Amino acid sequence: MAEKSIWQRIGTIDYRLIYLIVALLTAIPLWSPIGTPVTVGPNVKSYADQISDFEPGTVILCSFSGYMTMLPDVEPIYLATWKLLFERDCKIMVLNSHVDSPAVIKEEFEKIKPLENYGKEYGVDYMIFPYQPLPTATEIAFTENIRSVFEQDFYGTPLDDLPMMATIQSANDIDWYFSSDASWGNQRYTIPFGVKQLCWGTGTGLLPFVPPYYDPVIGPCYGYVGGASQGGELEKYTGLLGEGAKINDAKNLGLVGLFLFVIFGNIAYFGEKYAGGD
Amino acid sequence: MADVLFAVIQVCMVFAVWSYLYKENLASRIATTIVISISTVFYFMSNMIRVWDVAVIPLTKGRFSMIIPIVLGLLLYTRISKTYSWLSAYSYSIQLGLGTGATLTTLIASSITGLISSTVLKPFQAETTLEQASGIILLIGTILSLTYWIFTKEATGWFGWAVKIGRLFLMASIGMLYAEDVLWAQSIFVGAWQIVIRDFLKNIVLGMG
Repeated sequence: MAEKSIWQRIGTIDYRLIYLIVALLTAIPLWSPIGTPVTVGPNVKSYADQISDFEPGTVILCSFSGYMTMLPDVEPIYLATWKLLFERDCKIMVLNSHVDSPAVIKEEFEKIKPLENYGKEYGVDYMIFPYQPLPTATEIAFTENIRSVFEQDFYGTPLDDLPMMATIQSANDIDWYFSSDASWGNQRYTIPFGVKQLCWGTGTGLLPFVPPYYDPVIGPCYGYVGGASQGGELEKYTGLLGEGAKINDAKNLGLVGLFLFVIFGNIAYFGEKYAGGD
Repeated sequence: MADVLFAVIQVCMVFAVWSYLYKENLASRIATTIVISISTVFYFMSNMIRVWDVAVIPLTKGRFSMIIPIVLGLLLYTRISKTYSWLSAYSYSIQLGLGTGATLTTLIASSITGLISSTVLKPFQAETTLEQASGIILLIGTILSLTYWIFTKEATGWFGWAVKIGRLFLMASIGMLYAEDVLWAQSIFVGAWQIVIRDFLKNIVLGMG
């Protein structure tokens, strides 16, 4: 059996070594944060600035699709956004669009404590819709008449008994829509009703698709934050520090391990191709 | 006490799932089976409760129109039978027809004409030179990427170069998609590590929480 060349040996390193190195590099900053530098992008600044400029009484619909397994990627964004929103005098409606979302939103509001920390009362300043799958036809019905889809809120209270809902009947009464899909928000809320959009979500689900819709001046998406990295940027820009910075540290260092193996793979490939078997 | 138990179970589950990375074993199979079965029951029950609340209860209170969505939903389960599976086509066709009709009303303006006009106008609406340059590159990249999908002309001469450069733009965008996927996976991995380090080691074992 022929002996392996150096290039072949580099190219066939045990893949489990990758996992071990990435795991160790990821764990270090979680134990003790190292404070990798964070540069805040214009889209994140625009996202936070738009929220800061919300007029009193602004009506907001948050499409909340938080689910358990994706929380590490988006929770920093959600928590910072809730804090920013509760600092303003807005009317916030939360639309649970994933089956896990009600449990997630309850946990997040328990962390935020809107009444104790911001003086925001349920039903007066914010409310939560129950989970409801919203395929196209249902969401169109919702935008035209909220009560045709939801007669009650998450806690079973009729919408008409919630003071903040007295003046909110349809998407015509909504000023801003927080969306995890800019195209969908554009189709359902911006084009038919002129609702402005801010986008939030996972890095993989949002970031590759939102830029064509993003324009901080003319919209339809006026700002966006996607993934834990940008969540860390949002925390830094707004000063609402949380887990985002730590997650960024861990992600950045962990990726160094992955890069090393991408480099090894390329060295092995090109070495074998151009330098031959020696 | 419940917190400690919960943290221990979480850590055991995390390590059981991670052990699969070394090689498949009994612990990883048990952990994945537990997760899948709990998720299935949770999603099934959550959706069942919602159907009960929005369709069955109103039906019992006299909203007889609710019989239509209930029947259409039940028809989907005829897929189980080879003889009656054709009945599910009614449910699918209604759902697809409604979805397509409703989507097309705004899809063209949003995702076709809207994106074309924003791509074309971007270089002219940019405020800074850098944004202008970015807009021009985006416009050229879009046009060249489109040439990749023209199969009625042989890719030779200037057209061949356009296709090659267009392919680079496509590869760059696919590379970005892949990179975002890696970052997302890394976030989830960090989340699992947080369970081990923050919730278990720091809070429970060392009492640093």
